[in-house]
Amino acid sequence: MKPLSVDSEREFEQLFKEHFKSLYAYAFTILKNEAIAEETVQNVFYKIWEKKVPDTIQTSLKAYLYKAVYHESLNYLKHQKIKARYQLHVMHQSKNHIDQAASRKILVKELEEKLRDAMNALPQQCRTIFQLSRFEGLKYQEIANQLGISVKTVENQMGKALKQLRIKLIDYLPIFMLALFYI
Amino acid sequence: MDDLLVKHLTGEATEAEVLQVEQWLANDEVNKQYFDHFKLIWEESVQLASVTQVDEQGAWDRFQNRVQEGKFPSTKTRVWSMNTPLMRAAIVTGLIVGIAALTFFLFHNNPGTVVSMATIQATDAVKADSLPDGSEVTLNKHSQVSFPEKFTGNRRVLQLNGEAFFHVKPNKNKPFEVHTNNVTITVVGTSFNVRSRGDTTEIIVETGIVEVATEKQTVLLKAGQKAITGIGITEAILQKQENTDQLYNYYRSRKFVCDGTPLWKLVEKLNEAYDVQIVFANDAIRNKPLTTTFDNEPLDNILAIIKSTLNISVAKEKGKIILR
Repeated sequence: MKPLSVDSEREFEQLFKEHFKSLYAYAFTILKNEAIAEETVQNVFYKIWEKKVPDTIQTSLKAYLYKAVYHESLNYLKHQKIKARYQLHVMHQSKNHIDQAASRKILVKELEEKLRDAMNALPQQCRTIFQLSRFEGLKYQEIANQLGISVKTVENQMGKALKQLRIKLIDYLPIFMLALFYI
Repeated sequence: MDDLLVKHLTGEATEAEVLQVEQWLANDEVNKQYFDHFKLIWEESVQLASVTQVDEQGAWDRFQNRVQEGKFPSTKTRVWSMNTPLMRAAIVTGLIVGIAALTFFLFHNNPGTVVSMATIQATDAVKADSLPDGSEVTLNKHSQVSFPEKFTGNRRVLQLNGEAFFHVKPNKNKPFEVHTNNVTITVVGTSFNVRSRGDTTEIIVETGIVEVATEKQTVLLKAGQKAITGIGITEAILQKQENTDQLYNYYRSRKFVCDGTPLWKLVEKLNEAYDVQIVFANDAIRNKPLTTTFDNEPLDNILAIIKSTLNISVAKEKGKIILR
């Protein structure tokens, strides 16, 4: 063990600032809470900090970071299940008395929750690639470069993502379409 | 085909591939429906994106603060014995590293820009506490408020998750800002209740004037008024209303004040306060009005009174309390 040198400290700060925004956005789409999303990303960086950035992850750092944020986020959700159940319960309670006009929006909101759950159920690589394409707006080629994989893999994983989301959501999609149509 | 459809959606498809997709879609109505599902999922998923602005510098400062305060969960899971020579060596090394890290931080942090954060958290019980500026906060169960240990700068900024009542110490030069669920509540000195559960935020003003702002809308609330926000399909909605009941106060006053209050509203609060699940077997009784005050009474007494006043039955089944 040796303390961080000033150089690696600077490097670390640069690394943090370079990747924070997109990792935060990633954690947010999974967790839906700003404070927890930030904390989650911080935890991931802290682990790297403690290990003083092992050289092994340098090759595809971005892939490593996304993977770590994915697991850290889902881990959090797992531990928070009881609390979440409470919140859902309260939410459900308050939903019962919203007027007709608002209820459609609530319906769509519910479907949004389903979509989030379905997205969170995607395997890690699949979820990360979906994130980079959908939320970061990256081209397939860019995703492939950043994660150190082939364009073909990106294509496959994107197809797989939509296919799985559709299977998970199939029961809700008709209402979803109807709701959107009438709003 | 899935891969191609998605390539089409993302604009990655070549001309030839676009043609191929279009032909496939024209072949069968079922195919078109299949693609519509993809399209819908793709279009709707964007709603889940993060909309908040974060700045890396701020995040980096907060990160360093957490490191300094040792607020990270330990990544070590094994339990070590103190008595092995290796462990003793490790402790000595650890101390050296610690001192080095501390020295490092002392030299590399500009004390003027770094603000430590404090958090008050209520889990299974209501919690009252005071803030660095002398304002008072009462947190309902399962709620949390974070704020700087010292309010430097020209605003008092807090982040709330859950429900809290604020009694704000007046200071015209330093507005008091509560952030929750993409809603910002700004006051100079007043008292108000904020309830943020799920995507819905409700603000009720007890004294003074409160400004409630979402990204697109701002409303001013006076005493006795309330605002409700929710996240709609494309944007946040913000509504201003007159507040019609005093129930929101229950977790501070320990009183449930009903004044022509529909039963479901009381039940909602009882469920929270007593950690129970009271449900309606039929909708007809949900809106029955109730006028009474329950002052710090056991749940069974309250249920007994509801039962006799409204002439309904109360049954306990499988951990639920059923009203019919």
